[in-house]
Amino acid sequence: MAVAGIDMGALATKVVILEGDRILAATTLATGETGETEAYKAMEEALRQAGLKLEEIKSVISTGTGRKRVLFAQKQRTAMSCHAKGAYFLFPQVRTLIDVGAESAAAIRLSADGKVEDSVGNDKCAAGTGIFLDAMSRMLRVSLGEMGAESLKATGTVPISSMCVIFAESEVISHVHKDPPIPCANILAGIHDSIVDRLFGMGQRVGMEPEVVMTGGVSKNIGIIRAMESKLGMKVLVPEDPQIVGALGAALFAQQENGIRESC
Amino acid sequence: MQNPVMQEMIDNLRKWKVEYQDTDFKPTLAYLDLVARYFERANSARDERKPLVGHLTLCPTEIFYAMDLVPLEVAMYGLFKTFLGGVGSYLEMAAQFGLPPEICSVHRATDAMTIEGAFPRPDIFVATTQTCDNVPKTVEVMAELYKSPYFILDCPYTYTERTVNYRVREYQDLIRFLEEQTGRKMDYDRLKEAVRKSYRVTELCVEINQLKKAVPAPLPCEGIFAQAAVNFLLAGTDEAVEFFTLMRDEVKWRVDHRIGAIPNERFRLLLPFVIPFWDMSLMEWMQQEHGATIVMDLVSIWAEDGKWFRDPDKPLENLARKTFFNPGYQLQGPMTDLLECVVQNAIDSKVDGAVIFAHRGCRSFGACIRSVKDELQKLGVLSVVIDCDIVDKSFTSREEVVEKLEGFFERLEERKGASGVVN
Repeated sequence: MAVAGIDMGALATKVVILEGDRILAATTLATGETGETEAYKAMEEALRQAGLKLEEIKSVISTGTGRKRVLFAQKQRTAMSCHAKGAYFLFPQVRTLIDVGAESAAAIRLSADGKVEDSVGNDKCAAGTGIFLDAMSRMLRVSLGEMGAESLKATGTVPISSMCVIFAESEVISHVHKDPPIPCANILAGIHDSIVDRLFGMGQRVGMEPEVVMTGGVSKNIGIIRAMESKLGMKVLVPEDPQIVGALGAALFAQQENGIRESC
Repeated sequence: MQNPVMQEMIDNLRKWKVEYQDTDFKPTLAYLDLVARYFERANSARDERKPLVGHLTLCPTEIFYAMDLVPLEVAMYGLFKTFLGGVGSYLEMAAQFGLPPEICSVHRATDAMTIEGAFPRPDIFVATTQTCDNVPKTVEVMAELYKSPYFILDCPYTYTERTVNYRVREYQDLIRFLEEQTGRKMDYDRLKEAVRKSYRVTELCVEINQLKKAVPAPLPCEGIFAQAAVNFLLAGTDEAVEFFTLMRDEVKWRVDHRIGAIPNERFRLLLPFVIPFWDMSLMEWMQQEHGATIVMDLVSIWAEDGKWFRDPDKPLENLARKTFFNPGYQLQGPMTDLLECVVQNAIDSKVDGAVIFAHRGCRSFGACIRSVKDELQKLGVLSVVIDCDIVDKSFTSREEVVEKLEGFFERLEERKGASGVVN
């Protein structure tokens, strides 16, 4: 019996179709202006991958900032709960989850049985989110996909002191135009450190305990992961597809809601 | 001549009363009447040739009433304006005046209302250092803008006999100041009477607090702020005694008949601080959507069951002692007072969770949030911290607050064993 979870974020809509413990399909599409249309499209794509029709999906639960716009979902759940649920499914040893999306970030502490014990979010400020990286990517003319790997080539790092994206841009510009020039990799390293400092601070507010898992689109950036590991002094676990964890969690809740899976 | 801005607010309070006319919680209508009359007196003081005393939170209103002065709690006026339409334009004006956003928005709004002449010009200003360090600064700004004399009462950090005596001397100095400024002499028999009535209010409030802890919790959300407001504005008056007698009787009746604030109480909550004043309907939303009642809140809690009244012939000593007992004491003194208060009330009220609205401008409380959370966690009480501004609604939208509350209620539901999924 298949269920689906749909995570409609600010920039990307993710769908997971789950049957038992098997992920039958996982899709990620850009969230458009209407939201609802893109939710249908993402769902259709996931159904196509899974070889199923919508009528064969027992239950759909939506999550994310746009969850109330997914009209074909039977129920909703907050992003915090779904990310925690999905991360715990993938890594039962997780105790601290840091989810970093396009426009928001959250640090969540979980109990040994996967329940959320505490959480703190940053949904007010672009610092420490994907938008910050996006802005820097455009400024330095390094693609988002390459930023992380490039940052690992750094021979040093430059501090980016500003908490605000706009002011950080000014700082980066001044670094770019320094004489003698500062290697781009070092500036990138500074940018990554700046983001990780914010995320680390959030983590400290809830209390960071191993194992630490990172999810969300920004965790696909290897530079962020390495910077966080360096800050923590321990390995950080990242799912194979860190963007779908929220949708996975929503699908797991759909199983729970329909008695297919026990609550934990 | 009456102030038109204040008159508009009074008219809105009267309209609000009409909206609540079908409420089944009778004290609500009495409360709205009381508050409207309070502001009407302030607005008429000049016409009636009575000195108007502008003051901020936790000032000894008993002294003002005993001298037949008309008090106007300016910060409370700002909060009522926040409920009834917002103070956004005043916050913009405060920014233009040069007040940075890091300053508590309650004070920014108050200063801006002063610049705009949004309330009648007080003849005198009085403040105490008790609530926070911004209070005396705000009063100094207001006094300068209105060219009125002012007096700052110094409140010691800890409660000892020495600090009570110090406070008595502060009150003596205040009375001398008021006598000089108004030409009126203090009638100490009236003061003793006002203090006696104030203590009666405390007794009733403490009784109400005990009743509030019943299961199901009897007090609907509309009663929560009423309790604090009437105490802060009218302690020392017959009106306050009558109001709290009515409230106590109503709450007691509910407890005796096992009538809760809502039919199916699902969660009991503690409010270790205050709720955003720009949308008090959040409390109703919690009640209706999640069966969650706020059983206890910080601004209703007295220290040590409120037993501040000793010798009836020593009114100033009683008032000085009251300083360390009245709601709000938790924020000015040692953090241990706040933590003990939170812990004890969480236990006594059998709460499931705590909602901490982290007002960005409040250093007094902000510095304690982590400690409050840790103490609640030791008790097994779930808490959520919501970064917001209690007056400036542009800082955090209702949607953001609701999102965080929904996540919190999901956690509470999971703890109860439900799946926590909502429609």
